[in-house]
Amino acid sequence: MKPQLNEAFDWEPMPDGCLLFSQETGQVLTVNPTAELILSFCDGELTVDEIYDQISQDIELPRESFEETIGRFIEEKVLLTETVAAA
Amino acid sequence: MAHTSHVVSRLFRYSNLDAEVFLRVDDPSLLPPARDLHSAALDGEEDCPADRPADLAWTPVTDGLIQISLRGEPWEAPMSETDVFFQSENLLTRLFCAELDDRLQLHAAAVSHPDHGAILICGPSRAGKTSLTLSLMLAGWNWLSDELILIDESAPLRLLGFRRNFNLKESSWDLFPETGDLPHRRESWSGYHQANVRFIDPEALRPGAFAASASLSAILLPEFRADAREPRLERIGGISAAQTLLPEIRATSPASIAIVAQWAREFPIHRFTHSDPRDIRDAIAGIEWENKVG
Repeated sequence: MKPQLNEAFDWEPMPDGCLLFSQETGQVLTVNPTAELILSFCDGELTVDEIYDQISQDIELPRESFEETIGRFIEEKVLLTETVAAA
Repeated sequence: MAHTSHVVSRLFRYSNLDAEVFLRVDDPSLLPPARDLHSAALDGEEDCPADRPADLAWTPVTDGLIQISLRGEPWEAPMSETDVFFQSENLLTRLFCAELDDRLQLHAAAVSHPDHGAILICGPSRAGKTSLTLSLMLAGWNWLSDELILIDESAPLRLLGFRRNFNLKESSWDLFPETGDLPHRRESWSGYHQANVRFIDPEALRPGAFAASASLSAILLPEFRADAREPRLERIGGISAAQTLLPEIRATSPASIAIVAQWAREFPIHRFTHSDPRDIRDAIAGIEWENKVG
């Protein structure tokens, strides 16, 4: 799976994270710095394992927390998976 | 035969920014409550025909009950004078919100000071916005609103004031004895707040204290906690602040999200936990001001 940021979301930088806003649904998400870092690697080119490897070089993040964050973003449709993106 | 309208009603004109809202009162006995309603925003009254169109109208019906009409249509069932006053107070604010919907509308209070600029006070109902605004007013600050702040998207650092009377819940009446004997004061039961509410005209408390606009300088997010032993003022991060600010925006849009993000990037944001709103007068010395006032 190669997650990719849903372009329907606007991205507003904050001092300690960012805000994501969906113009389609009006949904607003507050994103902390760790989650923002994860999102920054979700370009549709890297697999989940590759993203985790990259992030682990910068910060110490339990795999379970990482997967939980990715899963939440997919559930919220902030991230599109390969299958959804191609549909 | 030509129809002739008789002058039997009274028309009240309220204004905020470039919006006007009109209330027609169809019986002389209802003039006193009409004069107390939003008196801070009342710009004039005059006689008018009974069929004069108005945003809001009060017409006596049977058994001492009064029918509210909204833009010419009956609004809910006839009700008592007390209920008419309370409901109309909300309806007037709603009518202004509809007229001013080209601006960002934030459920928030604000005060301003010549030396500091404006403090935006934002939080959900019962956080203490009105009582903090009153506390600071009585300490010499000017008021922009206790309930609704407007922002032009082209000038996101300038807060625009909204004139209306303050609603002070009974639990705060003893804290502010100055509000007990003011012109235009009214008290009634609020089903929404499940409390008696005192409506006061801030202009009666301190004439000339209304500030139509002011430059944002700091953001305060109050939190009332009856068990708080000491008032606490703490600087918080942008994400925490956004979680409080965003639900208070009336219509979320890309522009409003961008404005909240800009505020979080550029201004100090403090959470104020308190059990007595008057403590803000001392606590405010701890606020880190943004030096944008000029």
